[in-house]
Amino acid sequence: MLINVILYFLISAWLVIIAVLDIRRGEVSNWLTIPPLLIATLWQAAHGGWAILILFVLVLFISEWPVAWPLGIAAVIGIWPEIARQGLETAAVVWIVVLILWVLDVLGGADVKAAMTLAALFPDSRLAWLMVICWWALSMVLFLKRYGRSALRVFAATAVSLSRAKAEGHRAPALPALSIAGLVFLWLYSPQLP
Amino acid sequence: MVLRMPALLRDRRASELSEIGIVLGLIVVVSIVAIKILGINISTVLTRVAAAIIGGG
Repeated sequence: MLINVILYFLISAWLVIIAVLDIRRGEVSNWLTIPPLLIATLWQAAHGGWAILILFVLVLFISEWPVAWPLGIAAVIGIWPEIARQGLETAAVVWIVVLILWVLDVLGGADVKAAMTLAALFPDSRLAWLMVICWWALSMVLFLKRYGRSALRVFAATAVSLSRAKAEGHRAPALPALSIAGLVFLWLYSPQLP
Repeated sequence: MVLRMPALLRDRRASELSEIGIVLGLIVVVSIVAIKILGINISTVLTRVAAAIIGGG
């Protein structure tokens, strides 16, 4: 119980720090994103979720060679029974979605690593929903603030131009949304660590 | 040979492309809701596909 509370405070502090750094600098040092991701992945693996290690290697492989994505899909389908048996479906889906968004240059690497860390620690669909809702809501607020009355026109133009090879647009901080989702999940639902 | 970190681990950027993020976010939410409404359990489908591939039928 006490360990859980200490970990909650550590995770909360980490979430606040990366959100503040994102707002101030637009980037987060790898020292604040890679070690937590490695610890969360190893923690999950040590507590029976070893399939996440295979997913981790796959994510790194696809990030390095995005052209090999069909191989990644085949591998994920191949290990899916184990992923499902170990209760890691939500973590797998979150990892795949954020990887796709990173390959499309929609999300930054720090956002992806933070989302992967949270999903590895808490493979819970409620957290996944919170992340999607907070991310989308914050994007919507910033979008409406920037474009005002012409927001609908810009939205339609963006939807039409989705097939462009190179994504274009304004960049806004995403980690605050992720941090809010993580903090709400931690302190409202009090999840048990694996 | 020099070992280098994978691209994802090297990337320190912490920002999203808000315009496309909104459109893709909407697509993700609509897709999940549609799948829920249609009653398709993706995990079951993937497990069956994997079993068919590994089991050879």
